[in-house]
Amino acid sequence: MSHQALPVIQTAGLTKVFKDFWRRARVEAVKDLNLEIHPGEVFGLLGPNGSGKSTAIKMLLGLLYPTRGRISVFGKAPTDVAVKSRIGFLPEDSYLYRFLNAGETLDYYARLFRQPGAIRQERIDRLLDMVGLRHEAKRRVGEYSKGMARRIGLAQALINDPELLILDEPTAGMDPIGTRQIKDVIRDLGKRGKTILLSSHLLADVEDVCDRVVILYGGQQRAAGSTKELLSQQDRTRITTERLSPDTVEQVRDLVRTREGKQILDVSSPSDKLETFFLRIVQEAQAANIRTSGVRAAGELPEFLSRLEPSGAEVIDSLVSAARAPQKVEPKQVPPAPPARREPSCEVIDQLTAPKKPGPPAAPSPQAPPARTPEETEKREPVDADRSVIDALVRKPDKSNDG
Amino acid sequence: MGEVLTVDLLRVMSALLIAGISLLAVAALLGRFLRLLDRAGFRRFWTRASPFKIALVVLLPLLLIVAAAGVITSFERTRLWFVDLFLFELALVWAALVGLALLLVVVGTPALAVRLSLPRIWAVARQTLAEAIRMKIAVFFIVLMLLGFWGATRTQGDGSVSGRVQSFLVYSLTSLGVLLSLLSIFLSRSLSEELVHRQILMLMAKPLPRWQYLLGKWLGVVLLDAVLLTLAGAGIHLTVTRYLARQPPLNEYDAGRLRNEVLTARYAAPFEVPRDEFKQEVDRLYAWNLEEGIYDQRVELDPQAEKELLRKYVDARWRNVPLGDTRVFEFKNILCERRADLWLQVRYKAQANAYPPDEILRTRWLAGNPEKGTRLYLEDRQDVFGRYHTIPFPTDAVAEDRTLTITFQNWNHGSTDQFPNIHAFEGDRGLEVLFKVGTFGGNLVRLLALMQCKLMFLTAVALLFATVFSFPVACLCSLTVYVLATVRGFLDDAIGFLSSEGASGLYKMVFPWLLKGLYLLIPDFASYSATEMVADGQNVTLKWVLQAVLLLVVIGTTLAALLACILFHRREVSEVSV
Repeated sequence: MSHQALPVIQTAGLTKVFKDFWRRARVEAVKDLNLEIHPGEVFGLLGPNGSGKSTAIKMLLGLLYPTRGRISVFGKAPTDVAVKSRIGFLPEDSYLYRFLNAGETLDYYARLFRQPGAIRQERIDRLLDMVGLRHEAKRRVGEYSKGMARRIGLAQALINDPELLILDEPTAGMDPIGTRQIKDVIRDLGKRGKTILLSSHLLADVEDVCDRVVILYGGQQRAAGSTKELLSQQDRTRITTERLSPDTVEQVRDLVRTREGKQILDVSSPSDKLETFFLRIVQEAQAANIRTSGVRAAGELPEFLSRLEPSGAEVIDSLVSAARAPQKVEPKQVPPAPPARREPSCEVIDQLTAPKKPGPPAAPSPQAPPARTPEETEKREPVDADRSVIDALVRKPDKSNDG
Repeated sequence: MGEVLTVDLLRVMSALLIAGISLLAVAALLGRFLRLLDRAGFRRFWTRASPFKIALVVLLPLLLIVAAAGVITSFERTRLWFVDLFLFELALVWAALVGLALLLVVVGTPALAVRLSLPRIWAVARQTLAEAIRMKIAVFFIVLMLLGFWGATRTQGDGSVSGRVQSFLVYSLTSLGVLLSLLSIFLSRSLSEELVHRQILMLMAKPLPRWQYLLGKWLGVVLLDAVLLTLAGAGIHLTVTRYLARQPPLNEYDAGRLRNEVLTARYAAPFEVPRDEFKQEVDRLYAWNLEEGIYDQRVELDPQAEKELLRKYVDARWRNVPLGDTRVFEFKNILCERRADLWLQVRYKAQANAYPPDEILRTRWLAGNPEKGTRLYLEDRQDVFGRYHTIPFPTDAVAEDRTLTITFQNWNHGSTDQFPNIHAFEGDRGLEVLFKVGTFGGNLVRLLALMQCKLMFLTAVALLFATVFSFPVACLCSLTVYVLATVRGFLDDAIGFLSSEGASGLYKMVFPWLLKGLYLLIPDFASYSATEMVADGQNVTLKWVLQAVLLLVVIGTTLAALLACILFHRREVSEVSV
């Protein structure tokens, strides 16, 4: 990717050693990390708890000072104050002021960008609409639930129309709608050309939105590469059809055995996702205008979040690299329930509560095909998605380590 | 010839050097200024009107011309007529333009910097204020203050109205000072809380320089202090003038005392020590001692030291008035109106050497100098020993040249040989004349200004500790500084005693240094405390206030704030201090 524009974030040999009172090394939280994040990329920082994700992010923001190594953010040092007007940051927890209400909280942060009053108010309204908390804008943030506070956190990260968005575990504490919405926001912002760095240990989130990921363990980079490269399992094929009779399935099994000499590993009918079901119930309630002190139907991404037009050179670059560069997945608003499968809700609940019907638990999960459509992305069961990523991680550290 | 050329070359080079350096300096300053302008959102203005471009375009050729002229004139042979003619004028124009540009830059840069940083500082200050009010911290202190005031109005003092007003003033102003100091210290929690609860992470990810953040915090607390001080000051003033002062006075004397000695601002003039007379007397005594051979035994004679001893002796002799003697004291610059119905006060401490303390001192006082055409007033007194006493005299005892002559006579009949009844006026405040120079309201305002200065310093110190320590530790540290600053007077005495008389080697070595360190770090709050003076109707001078502004705010606060900024910049805000 050397032909692309200047990287937004670049680190070289980034190391952070936490010391105790006597300056003795206590923990090596980040070890020799080399990152390069390019404009317009949605970049995932993965790793289990305590793997150095947050430490790395805090160093990128100048909240921690590196022990060794160099960082450049937009070509400047991370402590440079001017750079920060181009960054939006959502920390791992929404550290809000209990005594301010949502509107005042956003107003405070907007003032730090020296935004004039009219623009400030407009943006605050739009953002509150976006996170669905406009009607609760006058309530003290201290009374908010964790997810609601998280939404305010997301809103404050967008208040300055940032070019670079740094999200530390953005979906932590969010309900499924919030999680979906955050993913949508990330995708939309990605489409508008913003650069996004996102850390998470919720692998499904990362998998759905990120172009590239780095996996950290013990402060060290263990794997890196584009999500598709890392996750595609070249030795598997998945076919999805309308319902087939058992006879046909047997015939297909035979066909595969005779033609390819291979086994069909799993035959099952996909079940509806809990997420889809949950979203439908909530949307029905919102349509019926049932009172809530929580989040209401959330709105679209506000207009003030600008589209970053690539410069002339970048356009040519992108044209040249069009063939090589992986096309971004086009996200689509998924209808609350897939039209193909409309079942009475109690049946769905039965399905959810009963042990899984298809296949023994030990059976390998259906694997993601190399090129998947967004609908399939949405339909995949989260548990399986997690497992497949973990499988991929376990299987391919040696291959991706050098990438 | 060669020598001349070398000199000329040197001259040329230095001219070029100076021109180059000044050009660079001006360009750098201008560049900084323009960048600031740009950030301040004046971009359109600058591209359209572009007065700075014009200035640059004019300045550059001018500089070049001057440099060229310097080169040409330094070669005397090739001197040209127009150089002589225009050089001076050119230099003038150039200097004027550079001066103008510099002025613009020097004044404009800080102005723009302030304009740029002010919105952010103000945002932080607003937030700090909101926190103080909504977290009920300020409310708690306000309620406490109101209770204190209410209690203070209940005090009776010595039963007179003037005494009641005085004790109300002392109690309410003291409690106001203490409560606001505690509030300021406590509000520094805002900073430590944000560090512990990590709101700081979000703030420092915004384009908010750390010094602006600190300044905003400081401003928020200081603003709250100022508002509370103003409100409390207004409350105290109203309580005193509208309620307490309207209570029925005990007698005529009480009413007069309230009017002339409490609800006023008086200047205290010390008496003039007749230094010239002293000097003559010292010289005379020294000569006499020499003649009498008193110094003959000395191995080494230091005339200055001996004269100083003699001067002290003369001074003490002059201040001690034996029985039956009179002493004339001159007071200069008594700048009050001279009227028969306007009063000034002579205040003195009745003190007699070797006199039984429970006795009464009888003294006679004369105010005025008929030789200077003033009226003469006589007052005979019988005063309790060891206290301050006040004698009111009408101000027309003051002469036209603004001097007041007070004649004192020791008139104590009850003396014996054992108790010679020498009346002593010790120190500068043993005898003074007080006269009105201002109003009670003005005095109160200046006192509040002094208080605000102390609070500003204390807030900066509290924030300084909060940048390093967690809340409880920072709070304790600030409290320690506050207490030390308040009792520094006593501390001085204690440490001074230990280092001088306590005598052990360690004390002598350690304590003076401790004392010096303390002096450097902690100001003496008592020396900026005007409560007693206001209650006593003494003028709190503007000079005093300005001194507090200079020492406590300009120097003390700035140093503390600078240190806080340095520490805070070095600090990793994401690391939790425990």
